[in-house]
Amino acid sequence: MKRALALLDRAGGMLVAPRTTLRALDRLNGSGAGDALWLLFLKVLCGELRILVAAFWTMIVVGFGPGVTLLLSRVGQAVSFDLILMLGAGVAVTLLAGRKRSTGRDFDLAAAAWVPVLVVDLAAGVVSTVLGIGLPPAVRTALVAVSLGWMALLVVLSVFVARERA
Amino acid sequence: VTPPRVAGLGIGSLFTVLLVWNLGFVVTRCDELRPVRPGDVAPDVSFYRAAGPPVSLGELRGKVVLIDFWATWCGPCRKSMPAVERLHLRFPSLAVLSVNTEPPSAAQAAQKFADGLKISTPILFDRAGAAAAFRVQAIPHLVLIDRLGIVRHVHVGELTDEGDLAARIEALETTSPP
Repeated sequence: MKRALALLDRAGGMLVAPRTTLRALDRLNGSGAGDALWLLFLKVLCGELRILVAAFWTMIVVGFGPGVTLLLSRVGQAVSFDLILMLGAGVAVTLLAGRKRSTGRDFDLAAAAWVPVLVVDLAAGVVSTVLGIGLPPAVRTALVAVSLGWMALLVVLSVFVARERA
Repeated sequence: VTPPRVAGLGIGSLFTVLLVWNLGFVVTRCDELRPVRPGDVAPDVSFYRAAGPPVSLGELRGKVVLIDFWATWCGPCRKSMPAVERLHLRFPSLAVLSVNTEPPSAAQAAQKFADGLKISTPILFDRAGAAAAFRVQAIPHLVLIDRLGIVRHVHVGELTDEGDLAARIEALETTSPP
């Protein structure tokens, strides 16, 4: 429970107090990427549960191979964009960190900077799934733009935090 | 309670709402997530041509039917479609429904794609939730239906064993009542 709360504190901190949270994460070497992986796992479990069950059914009804293929392709679809964002942000932070570069810590900061993308995606998921409101393509595009812009700001902050290292 | 904790609990709430909602769906409507399987009655759906009247599955009762759900972006579909075409040529009385699952805007590209593969069966389009009725989650998705409208075989993924499918069709063609 304590660990879950600490994870939520760090994720929440990225939304309301990003600089302080990034500094703390930079000291907790390895925490950012670990948090991101947990959050990705939760995203798949909570948001793609129907697909997970459908893949399970496919394993039973059609065959194990097609079920696993379906599972892997859908999980891949669900997380690939996020992983690419984190990787790209990690490269950007480590390139811009200058002499204070520490690749592992830079990628940790970049992974933490992805949290706003997750939050916007989750909020859109709740609206479209629970409230049954299909979001028009223009709104979806606007949401992606907002989340990417927000993440870009946090990546810039991450670069500053990386360059401030002792 | 600090602001990060409040924001974190907000994120946790979003996860919880999604999980509870999806869990509710899975528990109460689990069957809707199950692909149509052998022994099920095939749903009476319609498939649409680029021009002309739609084809209803109900109208094909009395014939052995092979439905192939595919899309132009799907590599395994491209590999499987020539095999389906060979089956069509080998069993002239078999009703082959080659169903493109993409949106209407992709109709021209789908026709071009099929022409490129020299597919002789008319391309049909899923405009009324046929793929959803068969609970197609991945393509290519092949469904073999007997003369009574009962699903006899489902294949998902690239068709690598054409002989097996041919044997199943042959068995249905020879043993099913007319």
